Amino acid sequence: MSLVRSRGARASALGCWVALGCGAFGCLALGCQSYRACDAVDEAALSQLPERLSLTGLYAGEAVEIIAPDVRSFRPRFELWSDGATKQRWIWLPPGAPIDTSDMDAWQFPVDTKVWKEFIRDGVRVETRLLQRRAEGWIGVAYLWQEDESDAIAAPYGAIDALGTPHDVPASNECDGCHAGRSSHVLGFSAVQLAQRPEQADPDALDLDELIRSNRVTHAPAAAPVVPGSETDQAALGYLHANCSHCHNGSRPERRGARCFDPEGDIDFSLRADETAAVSDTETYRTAMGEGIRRGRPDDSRIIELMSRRSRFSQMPPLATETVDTEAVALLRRWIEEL
Amino acid sequence: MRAACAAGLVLLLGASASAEESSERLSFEISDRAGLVRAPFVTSTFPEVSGFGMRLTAAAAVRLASLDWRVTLPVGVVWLDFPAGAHVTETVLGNLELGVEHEAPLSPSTSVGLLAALLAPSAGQGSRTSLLDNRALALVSALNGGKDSALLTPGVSGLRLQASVDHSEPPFELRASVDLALLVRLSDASLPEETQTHAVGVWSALDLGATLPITSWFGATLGGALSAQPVRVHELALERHRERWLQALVEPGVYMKIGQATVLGLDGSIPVGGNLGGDAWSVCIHARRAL
Repeated sequence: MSLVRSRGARASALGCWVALGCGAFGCLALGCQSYRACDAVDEAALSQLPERLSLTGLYAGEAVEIIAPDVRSFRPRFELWSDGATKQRWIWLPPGAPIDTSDMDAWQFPVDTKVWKEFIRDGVRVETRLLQRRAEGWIGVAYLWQEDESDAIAAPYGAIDALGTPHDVPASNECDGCHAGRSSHVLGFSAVQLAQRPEQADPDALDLDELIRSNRVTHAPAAAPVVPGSETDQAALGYLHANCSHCHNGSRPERRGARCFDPEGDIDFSLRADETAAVSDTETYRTAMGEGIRRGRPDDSRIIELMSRRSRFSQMPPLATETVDTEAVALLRRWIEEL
Repeated sequence: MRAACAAGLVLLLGASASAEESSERLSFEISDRAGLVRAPFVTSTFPEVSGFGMRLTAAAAVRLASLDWRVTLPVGVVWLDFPAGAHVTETVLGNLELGVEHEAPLSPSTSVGLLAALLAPSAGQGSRTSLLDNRALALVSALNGGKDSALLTPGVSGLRLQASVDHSEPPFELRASVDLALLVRLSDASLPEETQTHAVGVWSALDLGATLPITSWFGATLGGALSAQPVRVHELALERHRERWLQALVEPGVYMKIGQATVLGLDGSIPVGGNLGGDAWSVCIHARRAL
């Protein structure tokens, strides 16, 4: 009997080791990556969205060929890198309901607003994402195109290497990874992003001037937003704004549940609509200089290191990209050298 | 259960308990295998699964009339990678295994064992749209190269047979075993219609293990395994994955004896070649209590 008791006590100690082991392994693999944890897909909320893209209002009729006349295309001045995918964007604003632009950097869209983004990768139309503003908040899902392009079907859990391309379609709970970082929820449709310079302007696309002229915003900016600095400054600051600031910003809304790509840091890569003419006044300069960006020293700048790699454990951006944006890395290196 | 953790540690635990085995009537075992995996999967939407997984396997055995009657149940806890890079936690039950084992000495230094086990289809299936349970099972199955895939295949029942030999050749303790499982598909496991399936699947594995004491309280173990799935109940989605139906596995480990009857050990599982070589690793901690 004494032997039995002894073995039992030692087994209990082993049990503790097992528990410690579980924690250690978890910490090893995920401890520094808790920001990746997101809430589960809300299937009940998604059931309110159409199962087919053709029924979402993007197209005139059920054929997926002609865009509905009241749906407008737009193009942000600074685009999000999506591993080289070609993208098209559209927005539908409910008639008579202007966008609340009282905070020029955090537009609040009227209920029922819909925003779409289509991804073409390696010549294949892969997915079209929908974000819709509902009374209770935003909801989003990606529609995965059928091979014959007759329609796209809602894919709430996403897809890997969709339609034979390297493109991964995000699950709907991953939308929050980027979009929940801004109270506006819509990332490429803002004063900064729609104040196109004339040479870039798309005559058919909705821009800030047209929004103001057609009374689709409650407040017009005092002056057209200006990105300060040289061409290189503007391109670099714009790239950081479009690719980094949806997570790294100082006005991130409070969030319940999992962190879901909340960096919980002080770095802010946002461009503001009332930006002054000096690069040194930008949030990027004030918060990231010395904290990831070292003036004149791109090789010592953490931002270059993270942008230049794709790895499970460490990369920037941390989601929705598997390919380094080499042109952007070169741009950022040049910018840091010139700072 | 013996397949649930690296062979070396199980061998050690078995050896450490052998002195009292004749008086052993009831035993409980728990193992925790954890690691990172990227593994092939069975749907075109998700041809691969990846993430961090833990598999807790609990087992109990009772000796009646010189036979060990065993029950084994694995539970998986995974942090599943979603397509854009987010993690979502999922917990899933594996198949319940009910088995009977008989061990007989061939000589003072050699014994043989025979095990027959039935699989109850308790593995989780989850919803048809998410396939979270299916994906979680594939992930935890890959933690040790698919060696326990019979326990972790949803929608099946089946029979597993194992023959083993234990041999003592001081300073080594050696063990070899051969497993063969026949899996019968009972349901579609919530998988989409286009998933290719077979009514019966065949899985087998060859396990070899050796223990080398370095001091009286510390030693090393080395295991190797070769598992084969010539016919899968659910075919993998990508042709390149289907072509690789053999998976080799190396399982190095260390152990530390505490007293006469207790061993702490840490084993690694490293798939070589096959579908998982370079894409998976795991470590396992094991505990056993006998009454």
